[in-house]
Amino acid sequence: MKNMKTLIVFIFALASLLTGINASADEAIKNAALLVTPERCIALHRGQMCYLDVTINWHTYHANDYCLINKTDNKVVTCWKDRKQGTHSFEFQGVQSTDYSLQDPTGRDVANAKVVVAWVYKSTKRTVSTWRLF
Amino acid sequence: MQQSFKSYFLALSAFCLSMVASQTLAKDIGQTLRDNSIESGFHNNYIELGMQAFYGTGPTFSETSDHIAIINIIINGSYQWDDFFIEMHGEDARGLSLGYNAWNSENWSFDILASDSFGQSQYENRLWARQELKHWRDGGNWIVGGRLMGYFGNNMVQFTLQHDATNDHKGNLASLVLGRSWQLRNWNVHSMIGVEFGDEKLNNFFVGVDKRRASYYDLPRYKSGNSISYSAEIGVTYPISEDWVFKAATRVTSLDDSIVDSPFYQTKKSSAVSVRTSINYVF
Repeated sequence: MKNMKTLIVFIFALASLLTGINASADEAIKNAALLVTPERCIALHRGQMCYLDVTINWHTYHANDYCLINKTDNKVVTCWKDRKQGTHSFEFQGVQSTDYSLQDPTGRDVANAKVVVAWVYKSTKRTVSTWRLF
Repeated sequence: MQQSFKSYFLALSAFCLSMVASQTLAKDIGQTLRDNSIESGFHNNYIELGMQAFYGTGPTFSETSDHIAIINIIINGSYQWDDFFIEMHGEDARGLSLGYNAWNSENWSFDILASDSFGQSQYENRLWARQELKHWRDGGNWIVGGRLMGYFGNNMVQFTLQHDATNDHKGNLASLVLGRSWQLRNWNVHSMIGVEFGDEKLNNFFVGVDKRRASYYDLPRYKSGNSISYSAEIGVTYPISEDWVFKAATRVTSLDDSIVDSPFYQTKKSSAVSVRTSINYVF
């Protein structure tokens, strides 16, 4: 009977601890931010490579190890050790809009941002076919 | 009489300064290169309104000036319904083109088109021509024919063969243009070289002096021959935003003696050079 009580107390304690951790993590995500400046890259027409000098700023609630991830190709852009804020500048090159995320050591996205690629001329493609006159 | 003569000179100056160049550097290949969108079958449906500053120098019909400088509004546009299309590119002053895309392959495209462009391709001062020059205003402008375009990576070739559709002069025009476009970050650079042949019927309609014109303008009679001219252009296009585009280009054109020797030309030069720049709003 005493062992049963001990087990119940242990389960409650463990549940509370896990809930607390999740709440803490959710709080961290809620207070994290990833900002891209500027956000839009303008190319002349659809499908053209777009170039943009981008600066990324981020901050989180807790200091930790974080990495900036290009979500489109899942590649690491850069990482920081035991930091709760950071900045990084790089040349964006892309033919389509690209999502970025700030990931903690568990691989969870704590903040997200996007570089939007837009075009002036929205090309459409004619169909390739044979002669249509005859 | 004097006023008409002056108007005629101004209009014909425009012909000399730009017509040959514009014809040689046709708008279709020109627009494709400026868009840096060399790919067989790509078509843009759009209309844009621009403010353009233009400066051109060359042989003119004026005794006192060999250059033209203007700021004007230009309209560029293109729209396609199935295989039919309509194009207008004011920066080339080529007027209106109505066409039918008859054939496409991986690297080639062939259009049949009618253009209201021959007599109105004087972007330097085409308004003068339209308003003052009766035979340019009333006839000889519509030409029909075909254009064959080839796309090879960043390079493009265009061949056109066109004939007078109005039966006013029954002239013929042929041109071959080679072009290339490339990207320097978001700057789009293009270059073109071209050669154009105009037959004597066409040239005489615009710069010839027959008995009637000789009497009216008090000029010696002049019969033009066939002409061959060469052109080259280099320019840039930059997307400022999703709605605004900046363009700039310079062009040089050699002019055939059979055109410049016309007595309408008071300032005679064997080449014309122009520079233009514009800001365009894309709808």
